[in-house]
Amino acid sequence: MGMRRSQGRTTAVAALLVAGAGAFACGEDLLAPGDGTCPAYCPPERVVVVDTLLPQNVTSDSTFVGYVVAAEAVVLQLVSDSGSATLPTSRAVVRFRQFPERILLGAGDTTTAAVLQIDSFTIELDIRGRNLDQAGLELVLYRLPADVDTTADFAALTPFFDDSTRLATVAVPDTLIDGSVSVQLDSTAFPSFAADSNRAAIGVTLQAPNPAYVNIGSLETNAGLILTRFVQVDSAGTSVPRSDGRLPAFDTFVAPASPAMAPGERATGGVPSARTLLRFAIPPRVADSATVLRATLVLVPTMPVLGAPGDSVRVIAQGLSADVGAKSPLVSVPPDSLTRRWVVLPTGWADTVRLDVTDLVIGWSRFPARPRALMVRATPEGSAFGQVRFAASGTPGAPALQITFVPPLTLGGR
Amino acid sequence: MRRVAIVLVALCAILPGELAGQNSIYGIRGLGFPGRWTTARGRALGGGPGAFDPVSPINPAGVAAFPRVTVLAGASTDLRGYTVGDVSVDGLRATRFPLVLIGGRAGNLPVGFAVSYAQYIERSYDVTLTDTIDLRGVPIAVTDRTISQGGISDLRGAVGVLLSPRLRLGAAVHMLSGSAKLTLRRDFADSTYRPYRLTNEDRIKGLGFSAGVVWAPLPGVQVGLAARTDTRADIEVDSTPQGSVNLPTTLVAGLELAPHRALRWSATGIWRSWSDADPDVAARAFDTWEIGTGLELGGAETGASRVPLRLGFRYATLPFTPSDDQPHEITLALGTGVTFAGNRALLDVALERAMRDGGGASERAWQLSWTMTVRP
Repeated sequence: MGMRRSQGRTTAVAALLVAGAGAFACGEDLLAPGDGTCPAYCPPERVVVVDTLLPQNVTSDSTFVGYVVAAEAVVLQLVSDSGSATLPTSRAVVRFRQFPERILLGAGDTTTAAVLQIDSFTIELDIRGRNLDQAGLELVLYRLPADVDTTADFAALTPFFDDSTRLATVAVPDTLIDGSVSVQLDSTAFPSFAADSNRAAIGVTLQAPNPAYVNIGSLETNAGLILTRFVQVDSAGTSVPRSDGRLPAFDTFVAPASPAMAPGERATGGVPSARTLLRFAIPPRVADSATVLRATLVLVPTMPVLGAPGDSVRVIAQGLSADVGAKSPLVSVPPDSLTRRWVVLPTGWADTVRLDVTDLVIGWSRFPARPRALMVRATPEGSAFGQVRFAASGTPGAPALQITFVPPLTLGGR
Repeated sequence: MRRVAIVLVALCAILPGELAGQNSIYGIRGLGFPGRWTTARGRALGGGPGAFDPVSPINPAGVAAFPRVTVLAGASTDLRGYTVGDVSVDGLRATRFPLVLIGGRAGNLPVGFAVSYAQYIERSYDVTLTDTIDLRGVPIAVTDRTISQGGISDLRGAVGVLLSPRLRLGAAVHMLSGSAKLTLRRDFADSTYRPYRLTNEDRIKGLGFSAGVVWAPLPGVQVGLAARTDTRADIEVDSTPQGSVNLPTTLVAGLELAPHRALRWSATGIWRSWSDADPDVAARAFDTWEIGTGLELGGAETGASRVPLRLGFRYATLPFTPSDDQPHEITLALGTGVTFAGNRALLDVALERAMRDGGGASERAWQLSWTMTVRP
């Protein structure tokens, strides 16, 4: 009996020892600082970082214009007439859809009634952006010919922006950044409304004490201008008030032509929008075996960034899923990478433009079949006059890739 | 009892991939830090019984002494700190399983055998380094972290012959193989630079042969001698040959005196020609000497006491260092053991204090080891 108890105690002690050892042994922490102990007591491998500028590696570059025209823009950019040759002046042009001869008497009622007379009109505009530091902005509305179309240019429309066709002036509240303003017009605002088959068109300019711009919503984003007609209709011999509204049939904005591009110049942005396609030859020591840490596309402007006063242009470089020239499909940029990939350049910016293209260059290394080319474009396109002009390849300040990389390294040194 | 055996056999089956030994700052450069090739009992005795111990893969002649099937597994944990120049680091901790062995006797023949798995070289470390580099004209803080996990293991097949009650001979073949997963990463304080990541798998393989003799000229006296030679080991990184490295020749000599059944004193000296690897490594490689001695009082098998007391001392020079100053190690050890299940199971524990100095660094470690032995 005593022997058995002794054995039990021994077993219990053994179990306790094992448990204790296990508890003592639990976990591992080998992490130690090398500061002050290296290089003597550090692994022999060292990360060597190389930073190189590759100015001669653009094999071709081309600018293509016309991806998004003003009539397709997501906003209509109005720029006040500053009298400056370098700042654009622009005007919105909107033709509303045709109003019917008869209108519904009531909601849910299919009965229509003839319009007896027009009482008034209202026009509502959606403000989508403006100079935040400018006060006293006013939108001036003009009556345009009802048959105006998207082919009309700035010069052809200029005669219609005259005091004789002026409809109204709408003050833009100084605190308004994003919201709508409206103006009421009397029944004679469009004298030839009936003759024009119930159609109307207007032009809008920006008037400001200092150079400024305002972006107004467009049809493309369901934020176009709305023309509402207030009328009297015949309801069983009784005249009753009714109203109906119309969205634009089209909307656009016009401006004098931008300065022509010089032969050694490439461009991106502007209206209509321009893109520049750049093709690269990456040295094998970088493309095939190095680990790219950072890659930057360096563009040297040939003139200050064009655009509305106080506005900016957002520029991004995107990869191509196939290189078929101007119509090359672009590789989409993950939303969480956008802010790293694009740069925002204020009008007048004249310094070097640096675009992060790390993802693209890493992709070229990992997927050799992917075109080693990229497209530089503005985003959004065609909605603002912001345009970057930069030096073409083969000229001073040619586009270049600056790549930071780690050459091939093998661990295991002893 | 059977359950214990099953657990241990299962442990032996799954452990080889996890085997590793002691870590040390002296294992970062060169091939790594040499393993101890001994049990918790051997550690408690300063490595003194190494030249005779059947459960230690040092002298293959020892395996002739197995009376029956024996299964053994051990683990070791260290708490470590070191000083290099003005830098002191504490709280490093690692756990390893440095030894697994299955041995026995071939029927009624005077032949013993053993298969063991031991740590030949340990190469695990995790070093972080901060620096500031100039990129594109801007100083940027970087953090490098280098991690190595692995080492070289020694799979030994040994046969020993009991030529007479006083003389045992043995020979063994050693398959040396191992891999280390190496990871290097650099993070930049400026997030516009992508982190750098590199992972390689370093594999090494070689062969070794050992032979030894244990002679008992007088009652209570044993002399052990062994020699081992290892081939050049081939090195591959990610399956690409990266050359080879010379592994050392090992010579072992030991003496054990047991003037009383409850008192044993043993000592073993080991010399290894690690300098053979010097041309193949970036660090300096030196030949090493190791002298271990220990005193064992009592123990269940002596009949004097159920629990033995073991004291040990060991002095060893270390093979690899970044400087011309060869480091050394002094170890003081204390240990004991218990038997249970009718003396068919043994649990040995050892507590060691290791003090390593030289090569511009010093290191201190507490090491707790335990070995479970089952003789079904």
